[in-house]
Amino acid sequence: MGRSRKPLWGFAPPWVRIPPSPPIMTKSSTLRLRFPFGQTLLLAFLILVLLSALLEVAARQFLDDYPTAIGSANLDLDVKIYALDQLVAEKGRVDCIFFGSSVVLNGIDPDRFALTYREQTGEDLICYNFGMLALTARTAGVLSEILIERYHPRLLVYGLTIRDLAAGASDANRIYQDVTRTPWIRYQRGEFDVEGWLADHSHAYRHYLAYRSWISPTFASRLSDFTDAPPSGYVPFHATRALDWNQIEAPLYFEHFEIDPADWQGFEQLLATAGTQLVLLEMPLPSQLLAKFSGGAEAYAASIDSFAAAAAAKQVPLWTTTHLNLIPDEDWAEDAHHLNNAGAQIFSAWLAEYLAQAVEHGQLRF
Amino acid sequence: MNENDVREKLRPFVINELIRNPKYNLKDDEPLITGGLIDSFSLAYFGVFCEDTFNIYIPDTDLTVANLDTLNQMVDRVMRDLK
Amino acid sequence: MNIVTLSFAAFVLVVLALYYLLPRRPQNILLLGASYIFYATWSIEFPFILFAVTLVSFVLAQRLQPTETNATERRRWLWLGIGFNLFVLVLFKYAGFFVDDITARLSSWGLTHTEGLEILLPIGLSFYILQAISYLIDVSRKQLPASTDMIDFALYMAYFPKLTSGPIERARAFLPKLNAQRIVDNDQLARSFTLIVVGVVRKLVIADSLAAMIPAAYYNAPGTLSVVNLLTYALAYAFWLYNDFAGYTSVVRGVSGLFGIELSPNFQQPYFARNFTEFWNRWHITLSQWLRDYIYFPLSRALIRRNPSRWNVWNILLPPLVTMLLSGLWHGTGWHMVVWGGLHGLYLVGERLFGLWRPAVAPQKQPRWRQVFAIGVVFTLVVIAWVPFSLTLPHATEFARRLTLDRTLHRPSVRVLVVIFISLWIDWVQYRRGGNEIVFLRWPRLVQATLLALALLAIFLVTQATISPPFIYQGF
Repeated sequence: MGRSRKPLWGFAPPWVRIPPSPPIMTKSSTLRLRFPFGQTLLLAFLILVLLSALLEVAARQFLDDYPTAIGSANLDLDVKIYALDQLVAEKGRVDCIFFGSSVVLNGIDPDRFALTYREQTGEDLICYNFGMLALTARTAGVLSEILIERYHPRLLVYGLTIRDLAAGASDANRIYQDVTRTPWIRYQRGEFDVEGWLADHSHAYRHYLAYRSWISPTFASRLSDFTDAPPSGYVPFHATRALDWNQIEAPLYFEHFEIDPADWQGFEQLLATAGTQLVLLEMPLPSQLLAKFSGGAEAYAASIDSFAAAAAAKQVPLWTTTHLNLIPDEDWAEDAHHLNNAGAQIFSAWLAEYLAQAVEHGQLRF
Repeated sequence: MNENDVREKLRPFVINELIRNPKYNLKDDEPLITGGLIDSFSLAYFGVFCEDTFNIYIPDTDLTVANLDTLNQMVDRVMRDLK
Repeated sequence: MNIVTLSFAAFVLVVLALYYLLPRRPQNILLLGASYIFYATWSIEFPFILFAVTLVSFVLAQRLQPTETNATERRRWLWLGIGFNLFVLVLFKYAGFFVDDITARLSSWGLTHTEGLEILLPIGLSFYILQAISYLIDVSRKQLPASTDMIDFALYMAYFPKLTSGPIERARAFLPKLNAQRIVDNDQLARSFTLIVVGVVRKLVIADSLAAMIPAAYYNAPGTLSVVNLLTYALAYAFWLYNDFAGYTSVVRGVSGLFGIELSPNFQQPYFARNFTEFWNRWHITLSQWLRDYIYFPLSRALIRRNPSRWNVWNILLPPLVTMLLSGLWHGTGWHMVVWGGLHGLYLVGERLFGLWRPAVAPQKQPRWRQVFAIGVVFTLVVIAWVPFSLTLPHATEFARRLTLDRTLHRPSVRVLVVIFISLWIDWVQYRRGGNEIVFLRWPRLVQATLLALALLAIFLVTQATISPPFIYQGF
């Protein structure tokens, strides 16, 4: 190369000597496309459409027995919706959904509940446990409406403890973020989203989403979360060890309880849920744990009562359970926050009886 | 020094020193590096040979496959500096 | 702004729209502005460092002109320029290494307020520093006149498609392109588009999925994995690294082609190399050429002048070892990089020694089975060298020990092998047409369109499966 001219737009620091410049080149166009162009691209799009249609037909024809997913960053939500879809596909409907955090997941056995309810009333109910790890009211507010619109249950029972509204509950915001940024959820909430639309309408895409962890080293175990998902949604805790109350520490929000505004907003959203009978249910906690609540068990009960008052204002019943002392000391899980399977059986049977009575006495339209 | 002189000095160097096969019948336009006869790193020897024999310095950045793949190209490169 | 993202695509489209409206000279100014804006999206401080390196190199190069100063003075200016660039490189790239140490010591004395000490590593620094050094050396060797145009020179340093991870261009080849007529016609558009699609497939479909398939335990507890898994993940790493960098290069070459500016190829199916010299002519080609021209050859020639014998031990040992050790240090700090460079240096020395006893035979003239065997040997040794490249030394040792201890056999991960197969298939298609990266354009339109449709579908599906991690080579 060898340029000895100063370009028209060129500049250099003043201390750099620049040789004189010959005339610059005349301007000329860089882009010189000839028509036609882009035929290959167009053809590729046509093939893509055709291929997608073929995949969709194949998925609808042959893949009924394989898992589907909505594509949430929260795998729990994917698995719960898949198993509930399966249940509805098999039974034709779902009558009641138990919704809430892990205390619901481990605390209510829908099969036991349905059995007791049939014994009490002679009516067969199909129920599902939609308990999700770490869920709090802010996420429940988002999901309750979707559950009702999608599954039309006759009864939605939201099981709660004080954690559902407590500031500082671990992972509350993470699960909220994971759920609300799920394209399918956004689409359900009326926000247009291509991936959400696909997840709602395309069987092929929903099947792919169930297998989308194929790039993960833990693919096999993630896939088995779908294939091994309990049909009723209930996950039992089989703990047998007696609890050592000196070793058990209360969560931070027990020491200083404060309502998180985001959870309160979700709670109000939940109370505004229309289209089904909503019942709030206090999930039991061991009295030894409640004694560690700032102000003791009475203060805890008072907080729950304040939730009940807010619910009553919206004509939503909140059934309190702690004062009933339903659960024997040995029927708690090892973490002292959840029921073990024996406790869950007792509690589920009690709930069925209580519901049957409420219906019988006309307290509930069900 | 004319082109033939350069060629006559370069040919035995390439055959004996770079290819290391005195019996090799090297053609003037036979690819040496892309043909796999020598590796491109051997061109350092070519550079020093040119310094010693022709008293010219071929910059390292010119010791490339594109410039020096055949005997003809080597002769041309040397002639360029000799002129 | 990462390269394989929609925001980068939008950025390129905006710049392109303006670019096509302008005549050549303002185009360069636009590209320069766009490059600095692009660089600022990484960090607002980065453009200042780039500008400082550019300005100092530009000014010093004027001093290297034969007409400006005498030879001794020119040499002094050259070393000043090289020294300055190396100082900047060491300051930002390697100082972090020492800063960690200093911070640890200060905190052990109870001083914990050390926020100001962290040093950021400007993305692409390692790449543009090498460009500045090669420019200064070439000017001093009279291979090109010092640029008199600050904008063109700054664009050579900053041109955004190559800024973050190369290719490492030479001013001698690049500056004339900035003044040449640029034409983007149908053929150029097709070439660029093909390079971009192949690059995106390599990066997103192959590299990112392989990266996700390697468990964290491979890097931090290899002793807990079975031999079969260790070997599978070592293979996955080899193909990940390759496709990540080759994919990036393909994309940026395609993007640059849309501006009518050709960038140098950087990869040519390296895992089909039949010897290590060939490997380094196929892997990160612009870096290999830089190292060859500015380290290997000068060192070799100095040694050969001292003792021209081919059998001289220093002539055989030093050039490859020094070059590859420096290559290791360029890639990163830590002894494991030294081991990686040292291994490759030894491979080259071994090859040289082997060649001393045997007359050369062109690899392509050897029987097919020997070529395949040689590819297998070179590939295996390259993968072995990637182990210390990817793991710290204690973990690499743990890896090696595990190989000798574990005897359990099981089926390797089919998913990893399938993705590797796609990489090999693309390589093979390109390789058998002489390394032609856009060989697909020779195929019938229906086949091209079908492949493109499959590629688009695969890209969509993989992006549904993972969040794209940044390019590995930006870290170097």
